[in-house]
Amino acid sequence: MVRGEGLTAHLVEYIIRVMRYSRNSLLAPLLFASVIALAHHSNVMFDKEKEISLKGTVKEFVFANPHVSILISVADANGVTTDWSFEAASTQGMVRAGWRKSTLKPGDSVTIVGRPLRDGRPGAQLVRAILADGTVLQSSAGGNY
Amino acid sequence: MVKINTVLRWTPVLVLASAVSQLSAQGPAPAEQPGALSKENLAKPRAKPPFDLTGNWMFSAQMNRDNGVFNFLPLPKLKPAAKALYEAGQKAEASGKAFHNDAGACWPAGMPMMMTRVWPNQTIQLPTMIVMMQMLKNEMRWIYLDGRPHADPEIKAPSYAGDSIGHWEGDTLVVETTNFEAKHHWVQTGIPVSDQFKLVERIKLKDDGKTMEDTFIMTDPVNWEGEWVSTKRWYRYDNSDIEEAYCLPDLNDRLPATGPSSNIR
Repeated sequence: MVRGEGLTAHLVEYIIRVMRYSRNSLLAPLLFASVIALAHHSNVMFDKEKEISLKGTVKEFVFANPHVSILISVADANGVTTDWSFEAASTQGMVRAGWRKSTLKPGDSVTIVGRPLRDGRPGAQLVRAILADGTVLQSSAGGNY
Repeated sequence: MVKINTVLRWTPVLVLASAVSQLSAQGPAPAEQPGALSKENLAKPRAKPPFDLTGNWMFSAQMNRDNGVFNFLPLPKLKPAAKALYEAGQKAEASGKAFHNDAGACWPAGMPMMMTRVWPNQTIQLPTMIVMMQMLKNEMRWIYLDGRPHADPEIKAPSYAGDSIGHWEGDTLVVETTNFEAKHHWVQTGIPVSDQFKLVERIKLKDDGKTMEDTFIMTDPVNWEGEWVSTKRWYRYDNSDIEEAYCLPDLNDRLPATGPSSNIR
């Protein structure tokens, strides 16, 4: 099930696919530039050409502006856990994509796809989340970031 | 010994002299400018403006591809100090670090950066004033249309939005903004604003009122030569309202992009 379906959500998904399969294309960065929104701060610390997918347990979900914050605990193969911090969009943009204040709560299982920090710290910019019931939520919709 | 009668005789003179001395140091009280929302000011007869900007406006990356998207392009010829800062900023960004990202660290973005972020800009146009409220950190600007001159910098502090005075020229709203606060204030990455920064905007409404277009004409003799000109566009986004979105230090601490290790200063 995909909530928050709309032209923007489909466009983002499409462009991610285009980027994934056309890394060497000159067109890909242009397409990407068309949807990466600029927040209240610079976004250069995120790797725009890379996506990571992490399954973990929610430790914190802060539903606030200017950016929603998600903290999840991720266990590696040896059971060692690392806390990953995800920056999301504004509440308006997320609500338009189907998110609600009660969407995540501590203890929930979630898979999060994001653009990781380039310096290797455990942090990323949210691209989409897959909830325990399979619901897919994009990071934002409706033009808001 | 001074007689009490002598003291009493001269006291009023001394008090008056002291008051005159303080007045000359501080200047006379400024003339009363009727507020933009005063009934008297709003009721004055004025020509009908060519358009009404009232509405919510969203900055669009797609509509600004030809002018640098979030940056103001083309760049002017930068003065040596500004050029060095700009090049340091480019180098930092290429390495994945923000550079003097003061807006991210809760300093005001100010003009013109506050206009070019992807959150709605709620605009209310009155006969005497246009108020623009950015959802970006709830930054505000006031453009006075009531014929007043720029405020004397002796009586109005410099600010990040500046002192904006607008007038109509045919189908264009022309806004001149001066008296900027330069501290931690940037046009865009690596290009600072000095206290000599001046901004003229030529604003038009296009596409049957669906597009707002603003040509920014920026001068700053400290940081670049001549005029820096870039045109930006927004689309009408009336199926929304804005919300509180202050920059919060504790939230910033949680976000991976706004910590000190992500920002070269």
